[in-house]
Amino acid sequence: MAAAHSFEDPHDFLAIEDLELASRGIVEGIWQGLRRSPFRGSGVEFESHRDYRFGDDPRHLDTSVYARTRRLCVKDYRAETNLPLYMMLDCSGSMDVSNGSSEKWAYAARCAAALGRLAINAQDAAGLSLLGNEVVDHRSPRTGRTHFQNLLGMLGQAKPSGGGSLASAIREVSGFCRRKGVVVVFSDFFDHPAETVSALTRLAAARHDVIAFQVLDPYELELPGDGDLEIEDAETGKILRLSAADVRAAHADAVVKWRDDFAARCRAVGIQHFSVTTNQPIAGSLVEFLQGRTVQ
Amino acid sequence: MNFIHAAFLASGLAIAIPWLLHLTKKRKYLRVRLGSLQFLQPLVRDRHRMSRVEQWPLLMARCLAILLLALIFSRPFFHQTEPSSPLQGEVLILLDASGSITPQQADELRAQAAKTISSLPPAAKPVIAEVADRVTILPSLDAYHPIPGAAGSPSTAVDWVVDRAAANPDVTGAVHWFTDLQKSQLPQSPGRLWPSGLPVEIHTAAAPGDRNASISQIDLLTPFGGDSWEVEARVQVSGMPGDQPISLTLTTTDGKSVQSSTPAAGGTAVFKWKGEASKGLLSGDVAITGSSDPWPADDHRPFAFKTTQPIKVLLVDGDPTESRFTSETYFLQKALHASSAGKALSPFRAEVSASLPAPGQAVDVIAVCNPPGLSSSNCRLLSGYLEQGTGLIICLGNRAKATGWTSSDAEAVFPPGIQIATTPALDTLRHLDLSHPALAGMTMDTFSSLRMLPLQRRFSWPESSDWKNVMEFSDGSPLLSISANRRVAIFTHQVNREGADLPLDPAFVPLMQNVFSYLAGADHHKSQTAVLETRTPTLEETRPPGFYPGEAASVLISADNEESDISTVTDANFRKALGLPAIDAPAPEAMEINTLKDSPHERAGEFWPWLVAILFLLLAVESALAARRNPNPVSSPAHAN
Repeated sequence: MAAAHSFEDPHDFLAIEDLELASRGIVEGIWQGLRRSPFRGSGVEFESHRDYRFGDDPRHLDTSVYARTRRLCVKDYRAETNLPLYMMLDCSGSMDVSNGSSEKWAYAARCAAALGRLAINAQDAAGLSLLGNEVVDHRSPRTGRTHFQNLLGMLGQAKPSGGGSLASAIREVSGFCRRKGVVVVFSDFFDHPAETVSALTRLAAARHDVIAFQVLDPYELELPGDGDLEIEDAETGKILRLSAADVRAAHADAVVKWRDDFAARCRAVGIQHFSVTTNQPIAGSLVEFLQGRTVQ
Repeated sequence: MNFIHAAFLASGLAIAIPWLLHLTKKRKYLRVRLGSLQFLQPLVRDRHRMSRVEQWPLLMARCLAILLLALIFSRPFFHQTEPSSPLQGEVLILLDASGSITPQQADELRAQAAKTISSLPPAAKPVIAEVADRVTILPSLDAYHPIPGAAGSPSTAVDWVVDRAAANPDVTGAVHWFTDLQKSQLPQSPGRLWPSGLPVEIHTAAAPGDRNASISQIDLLTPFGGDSWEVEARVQVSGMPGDQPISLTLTTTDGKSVQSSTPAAGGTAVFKWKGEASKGLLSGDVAITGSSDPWPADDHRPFAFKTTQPIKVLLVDGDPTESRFTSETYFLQKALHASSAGKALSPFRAEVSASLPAPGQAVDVIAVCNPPGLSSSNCRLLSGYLEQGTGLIICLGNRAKATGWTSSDAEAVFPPGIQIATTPALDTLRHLDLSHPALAGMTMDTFSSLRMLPLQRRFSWPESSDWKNVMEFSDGSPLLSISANRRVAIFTHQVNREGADLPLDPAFVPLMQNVFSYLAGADHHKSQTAVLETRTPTLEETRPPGFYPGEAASVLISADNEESDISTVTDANFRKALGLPAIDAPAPEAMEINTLKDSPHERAGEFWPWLVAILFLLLAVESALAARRNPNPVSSPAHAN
């Protein structure tokens, strides 16, 4: 059912309550968009020989090469591709933004579900952390369908609410990320950018491949219309009345500037930054995201 | 700034309406949920509950529009004249030069004016003017001289001041009016509006006497007197009555003097005398004998009347044996002597004679009443009179004989072929030729009763081009026939009470007078004197009262009657009658200078049209501001980018 939909149409996946189905559809869409697996296959792959150096593990000596050439050589293996996938979702109130048919939390959840399926399908471990003011819930990366179902269950039951310091939550959850892996943080990153980047940097310093997957509502980039608006802060509940015509341009400029600044901060510390808006097709967004990773 | 309708300013309180509307207006907000307000808060000020007024510029524009409307309806204006004190600019000195001002009063007013002028501040510019029938600016006080007998016109002075103040903004000082507060020349109600803020001081000189007798009117009672005249003079007394009769003397131009008198309180006096009027003009003077009041100009009044010679009519009684009071001549004489004018006598002088006049008598019309016939000698005699211009009317009656009209000279005086019926037939008047000069001025209404009267038709004659039937019976027989060549008329009905009792008909008198006037050639009796023009002394006509004959026109100058009334009013009533500001009243309510050029509904200094222009601009701004508030429909997130 999900496969029958074009991956260009994000609303169908958002409309699918069942994350299992949605993620399957998205992944199929991704496969259609990608020519090869976004994740490398599991297992050790021989890459090349090199001369033995003092300190190398003797178990890696290639005896056949010695027999032929009387040279001591060790086998050099490709870097391990079986990296666990740590997905961290911001489930603070700011993610509970739903304008029209686009929903930030649902969008991020489906992206996470899709990435999780991709990892599971590739025999990689995937884990999930829900972050609020602190770590709301956590599942360490594992393989297997059962684990994936548990992750989907987590996503399905989670409701974004309340305020939160994403940075502190990230710092807290980073303690659970012992193995080097790929960390994808799904958030709008409205929280203190410097602190957030600092927390992410801490993860990156632990040799994780950190990706800041920014999910924004289209209205958060550009206010709708020119009429009178009553803006509600999804996190604090604060109301602000304004005339869109009066602040529209200035607001858009401020948001773009903030996003670009955040992206620059991330890049400066080697963190990938990827930003989407919820009116973009999920599959297309992920394709773009993964293609970006592949190019790296 | 002042307001014409200041009450309208209260409507400015209506600015509370847009305030309330703006405060209570429930604006429609689109609810949008965003993850953070951190980008909006710096851009949008916090709105407090107290400052719930949205769109301050729009509210201000609407409030200002309401205030402008209230201001426009209140019609504000700027004063164009400054309050009277201190005196600045022109100071108008008005001096009464009418006939009621005696020389003593004039000296006193002149002295007062000089004192007033000397007390003016140096910046003041006095303008001296005298007021009679009009206003004339004088070079100095020495040129001020009242005109004896001249009419005064305070209203004219007010008009002059108003026009001068309107045309010359330099008239900011006071107006000093030197007058005797005479009552008779004041208007019933004020005329034009006195300039706002221009005070007027009244200076008076008491009258030197409390009584003034004047001759107000002279009438000629006998315009056709011929040589016997009656003149009536009316004397009016103003002020305290005396106790002695007022003696009058009439003096004609040719030196005739006649005395008469009136009671002490005045009245009419009649002068009678005999004499000829020179060139058809009876002129002279009537004077109060021994008058001693301070106003001598009206103590005498000249007169000049055009006279007309009476029309001499000789009524020849065809039946002298008839009783005098039943004969045709009696009734004709009565008709001719009847007068419709008030006191004027009839222009006719009719005498009755038993026989035709001897040749050469001065007669204008000969009427032969009910003759049995006319012999040749009669006809020759009458023809002789016709030759000298005398008119002739033959009134045929029951004594006319068929053979009495066949003389060889008959054609000169009556139509040929007269036929007389033995027995008269009753008939009525059917045809009138009102266009004939003999009936000039008469209408069908005049003959309305005569046309109903059954008349005796007895005479007829063949139609002839020499005789015109002016009045006819129903069968075409003539009732009145007039010769086309000579002034001869034939009336074919008895003019006594026999038969139809014609003299009692209302048309009888005017008919006979008209016919006899025609036969007399009345134009010849008109006076040949020049045009007579009557005037009163004015600032231009400075000749004293009198008769001034001229070749083309003669002028009769007599004192103005109203100036002879020396009764006065108080200063307050004088001001009230002319619409002048009261003595101690503050500057009157702001009424701008009003001239004949200005619309009575406009005030100088108004600037409401500018306010209307500003209001239009403001409404345009308000519309633009309101249009900005028109919210656009909100697009869905799918189309937001």
